[in-house]
Amino acid sequence: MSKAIELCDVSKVYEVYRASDGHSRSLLRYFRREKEFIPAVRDVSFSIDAGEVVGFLGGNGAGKTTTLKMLSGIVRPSSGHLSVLGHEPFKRRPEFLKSITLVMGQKQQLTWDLPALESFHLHGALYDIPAAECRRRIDELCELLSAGDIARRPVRKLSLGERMKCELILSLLHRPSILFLDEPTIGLDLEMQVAIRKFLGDYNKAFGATIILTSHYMADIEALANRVIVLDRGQVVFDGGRQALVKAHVSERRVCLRFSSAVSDESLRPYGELIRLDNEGAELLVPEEQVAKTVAQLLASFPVTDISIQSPSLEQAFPRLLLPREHA
Amino acid sequence: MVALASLPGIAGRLIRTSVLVTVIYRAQLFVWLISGVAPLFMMLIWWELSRDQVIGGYAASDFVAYFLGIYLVRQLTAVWVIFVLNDEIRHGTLSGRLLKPVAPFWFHVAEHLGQMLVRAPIVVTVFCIGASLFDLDLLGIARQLPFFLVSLVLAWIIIFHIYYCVGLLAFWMANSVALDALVWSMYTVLGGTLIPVDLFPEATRSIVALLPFASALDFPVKVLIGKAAGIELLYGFAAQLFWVLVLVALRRGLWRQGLKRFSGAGI
Amino acid sequence: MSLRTLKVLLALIRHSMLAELEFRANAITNAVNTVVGMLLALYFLDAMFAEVGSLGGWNLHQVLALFGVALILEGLLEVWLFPSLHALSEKVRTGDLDYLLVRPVDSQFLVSCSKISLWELPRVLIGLAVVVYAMYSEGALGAGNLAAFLGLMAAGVAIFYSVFLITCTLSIWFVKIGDVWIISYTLMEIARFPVSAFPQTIRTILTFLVPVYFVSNVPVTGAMGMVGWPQVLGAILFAVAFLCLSRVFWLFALRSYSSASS
Repeated sequence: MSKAIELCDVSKVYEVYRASDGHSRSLLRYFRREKEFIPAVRDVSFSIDAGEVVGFLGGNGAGKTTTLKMLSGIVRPSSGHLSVLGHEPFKRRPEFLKSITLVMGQKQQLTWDLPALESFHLHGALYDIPAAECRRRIDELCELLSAGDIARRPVRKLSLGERMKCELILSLLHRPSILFLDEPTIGLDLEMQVAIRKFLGDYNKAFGATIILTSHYMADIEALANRVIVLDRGQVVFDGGRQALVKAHVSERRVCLRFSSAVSDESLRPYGELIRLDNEGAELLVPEEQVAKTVAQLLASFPVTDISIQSPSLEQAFPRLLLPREHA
Repeated sequence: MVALASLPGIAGRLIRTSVLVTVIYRAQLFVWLISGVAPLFMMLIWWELSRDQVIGGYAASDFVAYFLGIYLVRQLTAVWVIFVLNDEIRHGTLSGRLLKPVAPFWFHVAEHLGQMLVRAPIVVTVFCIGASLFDLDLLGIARQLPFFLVSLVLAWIIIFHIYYCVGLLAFWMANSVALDALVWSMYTVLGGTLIPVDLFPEATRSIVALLPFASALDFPVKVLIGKAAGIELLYGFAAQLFWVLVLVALRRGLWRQGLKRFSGAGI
Repeated sequence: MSLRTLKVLLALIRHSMLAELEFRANAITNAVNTVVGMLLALYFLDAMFAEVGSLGGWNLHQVLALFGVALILEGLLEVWLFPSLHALSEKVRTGDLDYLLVRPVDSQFLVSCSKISLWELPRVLIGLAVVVYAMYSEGALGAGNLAAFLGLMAAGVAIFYSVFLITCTLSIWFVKIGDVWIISYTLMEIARFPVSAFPQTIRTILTFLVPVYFVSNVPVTGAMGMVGWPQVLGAILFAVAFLCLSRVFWLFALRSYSSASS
């Protein structure tokens, strides 16, 4: 069975004219500008099955957004082979465009001065959705997202979270089978982030849609994606299970303790790396293999009133993935 | 009221700021430059028409001089205060200006003067090039400079006030920018951009000549090219002074009344 | 397929008009401004033709028709071309062009019709009325002439659209091209006068370099029964050529955009 998304040695090099500095944009300087070649994506290969939810991780400028733009047909790859649902994205065939959607958290598609409902109807016309069906889908999506009546208010009067809900409804009206989401939860409050994560999870289960998600919030990735692809400076540095990534890079656990009476730091040091010691308690970093043994010893030797062992998180693993490369 | 002694200092600062802003935002310059060329095209049309005949007392060289003058005066008296006022009144940013010890009116004036200082060399150069291309009597024109400069200043005050008053209507109307097109049409046709006021039909010419548009455009041009002399010169200056007084009074009245309606938070 | 295009177009127009609902008062002020402007223009033309017999071989009514055509073109600029195409430079700057490219609708069509503000339509209608009035005054009002006028006007609009599209497309490379629109407006002022009224050099420029002649003059020659086959053929050829050129250029610009956007 062919994959939903397939990339083979895809590269993208941008030709950029080095920006002239200062105020004098004299004509001469315009002609003497130097061309710079910026490799945004280098020999990237991966494939994704239909219905998978994949997290794209990477620092700023790592090439995530460029990859998404290539997958949605906006940017043409400099080399390599790209296939989404059997189409070459850059050809921008209507059948291809109708089966994908792109949501950029930092940019808005809705018309500012009108109620979102009007933008929904326009979207329906652009994607050839019959009016009655369009209305049905709007109601359905509003229900799923608990959007209530916000679609009737002018977009400029909505809060950021409400706007994002409407953006998502708009993007999903045409029931795309592939969703490209570029930082969809950026700037939203915690409650809204949770709501959107839940919605995307439900959507994926209900419609079997393939989702590629980039985010700077690790909680998004942890909630939705079992697989992560990490990009650094345009190259794939990790492609695999989220758990595997964490396991590979986080080899110690954080143990938090509370005591009934004062404890000295020298007495704690033999058990692990002491991060914090104050009236609230202490935190220790203990190598994973020794956690059980160390915890047993701590409980035996100290007046512990409370203990917790934190699971390793993507938040801890991710920076370590990039660290060695920075010193390369 | 600000002490008179400090006015030159403040004025200098305001103008200097405006000049700097102009230099940085050159885009506006481009629009102004291109949009000003219409009189030059009229010049070509009339020049073509008057190649072998004198029309209404104007020979080919007169038409050239006239329209080059229209170009010069129109560019030098370009006013955009109607947009600034509408913006400030509608969005309430006028409040910020009202807090300053100098009346907002002077800010607007300084902004325009500053821009003109930057633009003037360009326009004057174009004028001189045009004049030498068509063999005009530049010396004769130079002799008219003293009278011309006076009429130019008065013309500037007149057209600035016309637009200022229309801009002040934003205190009452949702959007007085819509009137800009109207004023512009009248200014263009009745000011002499398409045809010298002298060539208007007998019956209506005297009325047109008395309107502020002719005072703001046609008259200073005639002074520059030497077509207004003796009694006509006196009448012209009298008309200019009349309009200056009327419009300044109107502006002050509208301002006082308008401020009473100003809610400070944008209308 | 064209039915779908029509549906999309109607949806876009409706959407644009709703977004500009607060400007519906403008329709009235627009109409008033235009009528006053035309009256002033008539006054000017009266004055001019009192002094001269003809302007480049054209009489008062013919020049009046030209003023009407200029109004139609200006109106189209306000209703359609400026709101849609000029917005392109802003879309390139903010990256909103990406959203446009992701739609399953032809990108040139979307960019060209993204915003159509019918509130400014009075100007176009008044322009048409002026042309018809001028035709009537000249005794040239007839089915044949009207047909010729409409056909040649369509060709003129096609040329005008293409040129405007090309200049706005430049904003994909030169983001600061934003103010080139003023050239179109200035050309509208110049287009009010017959090309033959200008000295020879300008005449050539206005015919071949900047096709003002084919955009504004030729439709009037059609309306007044002054047109000969060379002009008709020229107009059609120019229209087709410019439309093709603008299409090719647009596709080229898109390729470039997708190579350079980041």
